Amino acid sequence: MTRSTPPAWLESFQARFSRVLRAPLDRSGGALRDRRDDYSSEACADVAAGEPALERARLAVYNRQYWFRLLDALQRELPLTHRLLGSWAFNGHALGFLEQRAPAQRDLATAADGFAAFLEARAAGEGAAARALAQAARIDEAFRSVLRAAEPPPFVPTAEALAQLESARLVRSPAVRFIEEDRPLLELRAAPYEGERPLPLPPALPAPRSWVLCSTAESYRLVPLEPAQARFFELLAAHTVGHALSLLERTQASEPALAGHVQRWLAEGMRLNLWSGISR
Amino acid sequence: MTGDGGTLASGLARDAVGIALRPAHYRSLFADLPRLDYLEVIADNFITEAAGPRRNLERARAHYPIVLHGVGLNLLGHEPLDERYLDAVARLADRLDAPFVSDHLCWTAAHGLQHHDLLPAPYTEDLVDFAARRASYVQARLGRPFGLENLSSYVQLTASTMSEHAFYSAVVREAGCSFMLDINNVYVSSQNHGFDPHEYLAAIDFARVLQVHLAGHSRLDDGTLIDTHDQPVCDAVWQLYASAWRQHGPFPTLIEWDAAIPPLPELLAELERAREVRR
Repeated sequence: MTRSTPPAWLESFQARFSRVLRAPLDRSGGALRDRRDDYSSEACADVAAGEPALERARLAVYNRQYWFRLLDALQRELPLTHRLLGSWAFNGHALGFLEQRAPAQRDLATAADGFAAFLEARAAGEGAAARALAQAARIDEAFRSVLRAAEPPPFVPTAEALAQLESARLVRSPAVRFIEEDRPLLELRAAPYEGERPLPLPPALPAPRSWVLCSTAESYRLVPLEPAQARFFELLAAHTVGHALSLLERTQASEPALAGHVQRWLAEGMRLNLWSGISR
Repeated sequence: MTGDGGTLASGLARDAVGIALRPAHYRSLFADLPRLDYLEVIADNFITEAAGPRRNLERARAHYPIVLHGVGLNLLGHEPLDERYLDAVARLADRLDAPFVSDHLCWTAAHGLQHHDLLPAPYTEDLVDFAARRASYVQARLGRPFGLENLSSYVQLTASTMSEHAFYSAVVREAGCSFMLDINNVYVSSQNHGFDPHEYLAAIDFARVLQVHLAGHSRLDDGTLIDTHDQPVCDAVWQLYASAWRQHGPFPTLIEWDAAIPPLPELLAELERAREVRR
């Protein structure tokens, strides 16, 4: 551990400069502008620019960079939400979020941690567009989670474990998320986007679609799920395999081939590395 | 610093040329495996357990030497260095057998908050001492050559008592580390603050230069130059580079491009220009 002591003035200098960096931007004029007149006179006095206006202008470069870098990071982390909202509305939400929660982690991407939940809370109880926005935020968060997950060790259950599978719970891999969409949002997420204007909200699907999102050696993979399969996987997250099956049978009583389907779904789940282990 | 046969003590060829690897180029790089002496990656993007970045880094390492460039050391921050961060960078450097590691002569965080920017501090004798002790510690901790990069800056600070190049040189000399000299940054700061970039480069001990960075910049309406890394290297920076090469070369050279990233062939064309400038 290095024991070097900083000069006594360094902390107060950095406190003044930091306040300039984090000074909120002004949205009132239809564009994001710095509020350079609000910078403290002490911070301005730190700058040797020769004239007061230039001192504030140079500090404003850092102030704007701070915010635009964070906004850019949040747009990258939540690309579907960005497309639905457009840049102006997205940035408005993002600034509100970031003003409450200044980043404390070194990884810039973590500045977006909690933003999806923040958007969902803002959208709660407000109509179809707001529900689509909340779903978009959940989808973006699912991608963030999968793409940031460590690679789990391959799950190869023993013959003994397989024999007792009915009484066991399958532990979902951290590199897997289940996604449901009421509108073709995943297509929207992959669509080209130059930023600025919101993309039109696509019409609702005849029935919701379910997917499993899992990481791959290249990037990620999306696999469509049958409705009963999605329900089964959802039940497996909270119940033993046997209990999940019995709960599924109650809602799928008219499906005579259910047992065969379940075997197939479990095999497919193993192949996709949906689970990282077994707990009892 | 320089070993036999025109190589650095770190093992990288003294006249090596490379690019800063960014995810936008993974596909082309892995498909074409272009002629490059080495790659540089942002260390902070790979000290993660996320599977994707690790796999891509391993694929790149299978074909090229990789040097590490950090943005989160916070060398000039008033708070203690983050030992967990240093551990992670050291482990990554070991895993890649990185010829060297570099970071910036700046601060990036204060009072528990990360600013995600490379921020200037006043150039003073007491800060030289503080920075040099920390840089020396970092180099020992990493167990390999450590280079400090000069900033692009948009302010000059009233508390400074020495020039930027004097401060930079003193920190490197006292720390016993190296320069990671960004010639675009020298140019940007020289235009913003009105100093002579040739005088700056003349003050650098090129025997201690681990690597030179080249990149593009932008100009604001008020004339301020911003280190955006979003366009080709400008002619004035090429001229500075050529002058430095004639007087002090060889040294490893790397092109950075971080925003509005062009297809890989365009970046490689920039690198070809670096090769031509040196002929």
